[in-house]
Amino acid sequence: MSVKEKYNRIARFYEYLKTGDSRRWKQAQSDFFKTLKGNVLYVGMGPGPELENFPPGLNITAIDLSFNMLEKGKSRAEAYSGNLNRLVMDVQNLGFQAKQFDSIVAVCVFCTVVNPVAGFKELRRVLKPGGQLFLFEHVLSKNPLYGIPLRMMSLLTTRLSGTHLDRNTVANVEKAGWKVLEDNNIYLDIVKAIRCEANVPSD
Amino acid sequence: MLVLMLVGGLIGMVLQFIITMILMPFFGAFEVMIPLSLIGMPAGMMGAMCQPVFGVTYFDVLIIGELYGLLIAYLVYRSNLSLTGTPS
Ligand SMILES: C[S@@+](CC[C@H](N)C(=O)[O-])C[C@H]1O[C@@H](n2cnc3c(N)ncnc32)[C@H](O)[C@@H]1O
Repeated sequence: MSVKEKYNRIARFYEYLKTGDSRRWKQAQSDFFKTLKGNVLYVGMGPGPELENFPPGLNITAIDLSFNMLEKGKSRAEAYSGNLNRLVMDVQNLGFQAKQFDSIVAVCVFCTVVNPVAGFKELRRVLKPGGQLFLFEHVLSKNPLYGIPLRMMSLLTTRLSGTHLDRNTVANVEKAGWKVLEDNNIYLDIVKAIRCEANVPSD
Repeated sequence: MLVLMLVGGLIGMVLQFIITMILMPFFGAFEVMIPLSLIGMPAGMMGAMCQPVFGVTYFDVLIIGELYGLLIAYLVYRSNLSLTGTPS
């Protein structure tokens, strides 16, 4: 089953499982997303629980691979005090022209993208010069006490939801030509707020 | 004893999965998953081993398991404090 099919199924109960995270991460996300500006690409919006932590007045294009997940975000999208358009789209193959967005944001998405480096390269292509990428993601811990259970649980979560708990997202983003400006731990060294800018001009 | 340990570990893992699903919406996925993954299997294995070897009662096993769980939860809390600078 593809990631898209998995998320189309999970959409029904996803928000219930996510309520704890949304509550726990509210303050950290509000602080982190404070500097989002202009035209924003919001990758893997799903039901959009983090939308309430975005500053008001942005011009947001939200994409997601799964239609059902995106549909769950309808009321949040309508309640947002700015512009928000939702599109079904794969981050690994974006249907946008180059250099369109001032900021790009993704929350818990690159654990599920099949080829994260390809996705990050696409994001670099559509970001305007001087723009920034804001990632709020969970990654593999460097501490083996946490890393080994994460690797074990990843065997299960990958099958159930396509979620990899053992990704090195900081290394992946750098591989795709981004420069990490900020890498803050939110919970242990597993949940992270990572801010990046394009390292070398995208082709 | 090896079989008992394996069975104990397995029971611990199953309980860990069920409790994770119940607590996740209240406390957050990783906040629940990480301490429980360090508690479930080892506590199950230790419990199953202690019972026949040291002849302790089921009640003692329960208390030891609880103390072990509290210790792990505290250590993870301290670890988070040092990694993030904020309480978990
Ligand atoms: C764990 S959910 C996160 C949703 C939301 N951001 C949140 O934090 O609740 C991951 C989302 O990424 C989407 N996704 C996975 N692979 C994708 C891809 N290649 N392109 C776009 N979205 C993708 C999934 O459909 C899903 O909605």
